[in-house]
Amino acid sequence: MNRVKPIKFLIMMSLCLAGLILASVFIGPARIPMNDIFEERFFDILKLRILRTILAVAAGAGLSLSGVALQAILRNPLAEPYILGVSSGAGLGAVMGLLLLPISGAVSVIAFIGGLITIMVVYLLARVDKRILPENLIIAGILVNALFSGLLMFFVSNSSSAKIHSVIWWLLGNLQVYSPGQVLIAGAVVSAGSFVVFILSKELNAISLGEEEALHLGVDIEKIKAALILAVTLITSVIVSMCGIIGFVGLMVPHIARRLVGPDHRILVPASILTGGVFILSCDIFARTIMAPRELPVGVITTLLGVPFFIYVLKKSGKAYFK
Amino acid sequence: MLTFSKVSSGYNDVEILSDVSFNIKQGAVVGIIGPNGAGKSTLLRTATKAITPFGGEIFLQNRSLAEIPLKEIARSMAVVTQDTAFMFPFKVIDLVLLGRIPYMKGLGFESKGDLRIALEALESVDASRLKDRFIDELSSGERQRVIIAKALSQRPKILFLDEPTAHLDICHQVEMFRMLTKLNKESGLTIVSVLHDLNLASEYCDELILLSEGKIKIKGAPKEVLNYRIIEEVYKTLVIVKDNPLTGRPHVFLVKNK
Repeated sequence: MNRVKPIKFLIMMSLCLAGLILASVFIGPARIPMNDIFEERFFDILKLRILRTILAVAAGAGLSLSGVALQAILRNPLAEPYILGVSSGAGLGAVMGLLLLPISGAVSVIAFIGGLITIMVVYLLARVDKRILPENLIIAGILVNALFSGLLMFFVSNSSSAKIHSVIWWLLGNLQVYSPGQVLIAGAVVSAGSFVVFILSKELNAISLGEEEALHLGVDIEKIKAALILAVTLITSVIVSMCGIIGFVGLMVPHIARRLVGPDHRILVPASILTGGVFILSCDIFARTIMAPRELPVGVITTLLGVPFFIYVLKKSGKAYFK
Repeated sequence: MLTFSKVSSGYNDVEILSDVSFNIKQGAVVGIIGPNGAGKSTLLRTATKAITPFGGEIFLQNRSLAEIPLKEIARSMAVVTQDTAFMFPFKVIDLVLLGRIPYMKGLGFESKGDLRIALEALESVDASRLKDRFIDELSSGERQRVIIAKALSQRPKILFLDEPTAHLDICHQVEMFRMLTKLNKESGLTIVSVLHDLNLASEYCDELILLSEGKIKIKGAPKEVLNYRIIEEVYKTLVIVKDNPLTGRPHVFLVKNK
């Protein structure tokens, strides 16, 4: 696959995203007849769809951006937003919330806290000699992921079948809007986090050459890594706590964007944000309409559409996979 | 230019370099030689602030290295590490431009000046024709040139190299050193390189630092350092040292053990 002109790509993707945002607001299982547009029902539906669209774009952009940053920091092509254990920590929190608490609004708060605690544990485990080594982070992430998944299974295996359904629905990843406030928080956190990652683009370029290389280019690697990991953790925790575990986006989008615009993070970061938004919005429109009025969890679609598409892209380029 | 004063250094409390003192003059080409495990790379990494010394002090242009901010260091010294691994397929010119990071502000979009410096750096290593190629498509020799161009676009006063000829055939080895010598002569760049090949070191360096078990055994001109008694003692190998009839530089020949 040949690289495309970065500016052209960014403009094209922005237009695509704008089109999909409109589509996402106006397409859905509930029809809005034209003669109803001044009725209250219309505004309720519209409001819900706008919120859902914001959540979708925030989730797609945030997960893709986190994938880009983590692949560079950890220097690992398999890195994705969940690699450091945020998903299992938040998942454990959410499941405990769903199973043990009567109110559903608190679930995302507990999930968010679960995600943050996990990352702190991983960070402390990976810290040796006041330094955070990428390999240590990955191994600590895998360990904590395994432990928390085990605990999660323990809780699930000990609960009633009625509750298991809501747990599984949550784990599959979906974009249901629980409250407008939450959506706005997600939007704000993802925007702020994206800004931090974007202004550190040139440092990400340096770090992607290796930590010692970055150091020799005058980059204070430990500080930059800490800032990036914090930004990525907040983004991922917020998204996971509201949308559950939307799979594959954070792994696939960075790879596709990198193939299209190259590895320069000053372009790659905005390119991934846009591509992530476009991808997840398309998946969500699909998830809402394919079996309407029933709705599929968007995580199912991202994986079912994403995997074949990713295989196609990899095969078409005909090079080593990680190029 | 670079002064070590009673420096000891190592990793995780294990001392590898002990009590090392030397001075490198501006414009010198210095080779660091010694057997495996003698502390050559540790010395290089200590000199470039990749590791913090346990004791002693290092001065770069008469300022204590510990007190110079990283960014400022990156503007006066560049380092070509061994086996730079590129995870991402950068375009050559983009990679060389990364050498301008220590000078960039904000988001770091390069100016015309940065681009000019990067192109000059490629030119000075005879690699201008590679500028639009991808780094993963290059041969080892070409890659090494590009990596050196990246280092040069930092506009350093001193260039450190860790075994720059490790994967190169003799033609490319000679080319590499001819290029480094040219840079040294034309722009007064101080060059400090870790080398395994004693004969290359002898041929191209003004001065050699021979390390043995974390200490400096001897520092001086190749003629003084490559003495068969010293080499046999440090490398625990029988050798014959003869001068190259063309350049007069000493060369080391191995002797088959009986």
